[in-house]
Amino acid sequence: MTEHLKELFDQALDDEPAFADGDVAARVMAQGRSIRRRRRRRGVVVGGSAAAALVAVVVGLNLGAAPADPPPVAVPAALALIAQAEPRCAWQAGSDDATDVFVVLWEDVSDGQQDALRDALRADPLVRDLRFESRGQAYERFKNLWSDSPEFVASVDESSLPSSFRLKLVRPSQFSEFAAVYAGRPGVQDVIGGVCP
Amino acid sequence: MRRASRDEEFTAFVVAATPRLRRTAYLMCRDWHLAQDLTQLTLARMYASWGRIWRTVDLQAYSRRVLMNAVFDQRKRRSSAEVVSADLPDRPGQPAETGPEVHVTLMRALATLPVRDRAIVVLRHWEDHSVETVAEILDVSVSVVKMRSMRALARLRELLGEDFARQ
Repeated sequence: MTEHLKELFDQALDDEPAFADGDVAARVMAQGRSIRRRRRRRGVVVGGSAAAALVAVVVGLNLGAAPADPPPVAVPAALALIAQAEPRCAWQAGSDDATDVFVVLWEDVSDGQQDALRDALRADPLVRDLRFESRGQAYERFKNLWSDSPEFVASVDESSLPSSFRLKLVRPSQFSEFAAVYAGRPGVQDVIGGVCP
Repeated sequence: MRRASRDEEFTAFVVAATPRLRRTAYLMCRDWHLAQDLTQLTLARMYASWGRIWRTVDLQAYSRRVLMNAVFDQRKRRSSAEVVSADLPDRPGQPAETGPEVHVTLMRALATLPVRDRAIVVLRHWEDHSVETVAEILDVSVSVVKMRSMRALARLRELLGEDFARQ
């Protein structure tokens, strides 16, 4: 039955009209931005257990049409950051401003690299409220923030949470400038900004 | 993690995902224009959360979830507008139609199912998602998917006739 059913589905789709999909991405991005603005106005925040149920740790990147060489996979870091991000903050694409920043470190960052980064960040006039978060601390915070979604917590391995420097920018509009300086530094995996109220 | 590369990945996702999402939407609503609107709404909603989801969720499953929610919402808004099943056979077990037109009947038969059962049939038997993934997409338990899927297939078999079922 089910084999045949599939055939019938295919036939039912035979009359599919030709769609001009050329500018779909641009159109939906514009629409998406206005949805985001509305959400922000309503104070809808990142997170929620329904979303958590679908955060299926590490998948999805390798879609057919994705660029042949995806950037060095930062999935655990992105996952970790998003998972443990303050729910009241908007950690999302499309904004070049950030009030709060994670400088995410690689797992094998050396003490020397970490010290050099700390010194540079401390001396940086763009930065205020610098603090370091170890992998253990990050995991603890993650567990607390997501205590209402035990399955999600269980699905994340303790070791997938990176250590990071967390800081606030003096001026949110300086995020691009800040990221450009630190993104390529030794030991740095990613620089991620969010807008917190 | 710059905006440009995120938007590039989103664009690639849109190109890869649009045709299939639209077909799935069509099988749910039988209207290509509505299917197109629902697909764009789905993608727009995903873009609004792209920074959060792009490297963390299973985009295949996530996009189906957003799409199905859009389908369900749209039906709620439009409430009783759809009239179906008027010309379905009265005698279960009799083939409704035979030959090349049988798929029209399939679409009509599908439309008589409760919308969530239809979603299960489409996701499971056209999209080929596992029972577990379907459960995740629709936010119900695996046993609910199995039970409703069985019930829905039985109903289709009844409407379409045993000839169809045996092929």
